[in-house]
Amino acid sequence: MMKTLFSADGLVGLLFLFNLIVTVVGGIVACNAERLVRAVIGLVVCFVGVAGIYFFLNSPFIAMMHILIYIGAVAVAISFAIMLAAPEEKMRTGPTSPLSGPIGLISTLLLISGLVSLALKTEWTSVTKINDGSVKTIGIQLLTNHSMVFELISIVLLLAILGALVIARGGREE
Amino acid sequence: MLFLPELTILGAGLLFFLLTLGQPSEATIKNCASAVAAVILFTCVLCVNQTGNLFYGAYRVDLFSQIFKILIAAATLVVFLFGNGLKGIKQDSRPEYYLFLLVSNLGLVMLVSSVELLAIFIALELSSFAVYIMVPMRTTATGIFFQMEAGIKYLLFGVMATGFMLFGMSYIFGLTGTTSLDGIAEQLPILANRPAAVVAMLMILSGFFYKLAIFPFHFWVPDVYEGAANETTAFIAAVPKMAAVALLIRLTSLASHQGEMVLNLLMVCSILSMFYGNLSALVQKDLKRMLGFSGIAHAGFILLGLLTFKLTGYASAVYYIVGYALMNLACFLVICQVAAKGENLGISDLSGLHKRAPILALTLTVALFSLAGIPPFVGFTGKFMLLLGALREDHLLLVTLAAINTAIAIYYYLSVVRMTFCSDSNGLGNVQTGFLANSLSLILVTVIIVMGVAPSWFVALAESAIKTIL
Amino acid sequence: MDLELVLSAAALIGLAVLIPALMLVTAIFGPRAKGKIKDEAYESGIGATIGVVDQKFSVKFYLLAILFLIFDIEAVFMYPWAVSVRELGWFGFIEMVVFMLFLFTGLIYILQKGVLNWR
Repeated sequence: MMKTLFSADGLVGLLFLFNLIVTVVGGIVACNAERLVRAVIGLVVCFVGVAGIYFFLNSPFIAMMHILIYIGAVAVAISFAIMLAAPEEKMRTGPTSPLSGPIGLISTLLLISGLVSLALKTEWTSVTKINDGSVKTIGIQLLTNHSMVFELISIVLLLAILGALVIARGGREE
Repeated sequence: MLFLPELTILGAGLLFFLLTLGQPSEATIKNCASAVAAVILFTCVLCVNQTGNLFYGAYRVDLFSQIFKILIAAATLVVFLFGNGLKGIKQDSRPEYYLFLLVSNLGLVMLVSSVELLAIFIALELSSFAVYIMVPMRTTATGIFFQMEAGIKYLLFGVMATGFMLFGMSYIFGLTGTTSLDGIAEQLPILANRPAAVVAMLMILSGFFYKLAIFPFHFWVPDVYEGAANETTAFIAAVPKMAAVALLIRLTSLASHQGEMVLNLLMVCSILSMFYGNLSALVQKDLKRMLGFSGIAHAGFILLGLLTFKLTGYASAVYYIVGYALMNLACFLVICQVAAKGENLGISDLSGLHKRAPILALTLTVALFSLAGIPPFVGFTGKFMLLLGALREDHLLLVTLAAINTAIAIYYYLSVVRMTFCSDSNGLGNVQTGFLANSLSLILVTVIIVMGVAPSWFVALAESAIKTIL
Repeated sequence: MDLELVLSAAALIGLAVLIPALMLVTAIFGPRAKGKIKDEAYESGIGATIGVVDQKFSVKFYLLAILFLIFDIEAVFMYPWAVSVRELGWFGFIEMVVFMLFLFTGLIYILQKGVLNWR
């Protein structure tokens, strides 16, 4: 069946493409911005795109989580960190080798082509649907099959609280 | 009862949490830490014969995991005992430091029992995060200011290795549709010739290569060893590596069907780790840095046992890592005692140690001889068994290169020994050692010798433990 | 189903295209008045603050952001539990209580160390 742009699939494809563009553009801005704050904004845009990709991968919960945590909180934390450190607005400091650009590009391309060919050449077993991926199923799985992970996560979070305070407190007492 | 050691550690963590809220005295903290570590070791020994599953099959208690729990608890007890006082740690955060150590311990203890990919991941992260926080907690009083840099490096490299591991896990999940190691073990032989399965397995292994500091994931070692406080480095050098070996055994036994590709890569990693570690250690001036590089080389040796994919190979790897932990603990015991204020020690700071502190000098010598692989100590027996195992599998080239490396390593270990015995003290004062440190160092020396002379009982124990998971 | 999908996708794409397009159009064609005072950056009437970035930010803001991040993650984990609370029953409830207790100890630590005191 020929798929046109104006069928349902076509529009979804267009939307997916749009998502990809948002992700890539955000990533490029994040890497190349002159000012750190702009890089953070680029990162946020990139996160939005990634959340969209999660949505397309049929996991709306992860997409929501991504928006809530990464855009809602991580970006804010990074912005505060930038304001806290008040770094000099000079991005390129110190001598960089003229070869670093090409080498980076080549290794990136190698990595990308390797991963892509790996994904394409592997015979993936025909997708057996394990569950419907709804938030309800995730909740049940998380608190039964993965209950150990669930409880350990709370300890990890506790550790994060204590660690952040212990490390930052040293800077506070003057 | 199955979960008793973990619950004990949690209880101990709670105790130290309460201590962080109050204003405990130094002595209280110290005594609590030692007592708590002893109780943890006791419960681990008590539960050695337990078997069973917990948490819907994600957590398996068997002889293998229980033995490793005892080893981890014992090594932690030693760290708690000789690190008493925690001179290298900021004074106002010592209870927190013990709390993080216990949490890291909890993560490691849960790691060796986890048989499900997500549980493995989160337990590994729990143990790593605690150590990431412990590194920058070093005091700045001794004029060392790069502990924060060391912590950040440790964190960034660690996050990258973890990312690799998680990516590999996602491939495995995509190929098999399950996250439990049993399910994966059933399906992997069918998938053996698919490149994605091989790559995924290697990526998962890389997370543990990082913990063990094997060649492409070794970058953190020198800076972290040097930047972290002596007590922290002692912990990092001994305890997580044992858990990493346990998990590498669990995972490589899955990868054994995957043929030449994995084997060749492991061989390359092993050889490169040995050469990189030993050649870099030759030129080091700082004792901890040198031990760090030597740790990379020893990790290469351990890989030698793992890549046989045989029961005896695994058992000798377990034997070797236990021996390595013992030798390292002995070295760091000496470092912690000689560095009275918690400063870093150059190799020249050890000059004339045989006059300043004879027992410590003896301990250091035994440990270094053992690290260098000189009989009759545990390091020699371990190396011998590993090389023999690899030879049985016809890895002749590998064995030759490993033997060359042993020869290189002797030089820098013995130059430290020479500094200890054959030079004047250069005005360096006597080292104050307490009864505890002396007796502990003598115990370590005894264990190093006894394990080296009579390895068979431990190897038999390790073999019977590994049989339960193969 | 198809129609719904088409419409919602069209609406999303429409929004994504329309909003930047409108912004662009107003930027190009909108009327604009220029003047010395009008071109000044708006700083609540304080003119001299522009360019002064020496003032260091208090670490408290950052700590707050981190703590917010952590409790945010906690909230995310509560969400799937809340949706499936009936199926999970008391077992799930107890698990959630343990989860919350761990974070509550964190909160005790925060309060006891006076991180939230703003002086």
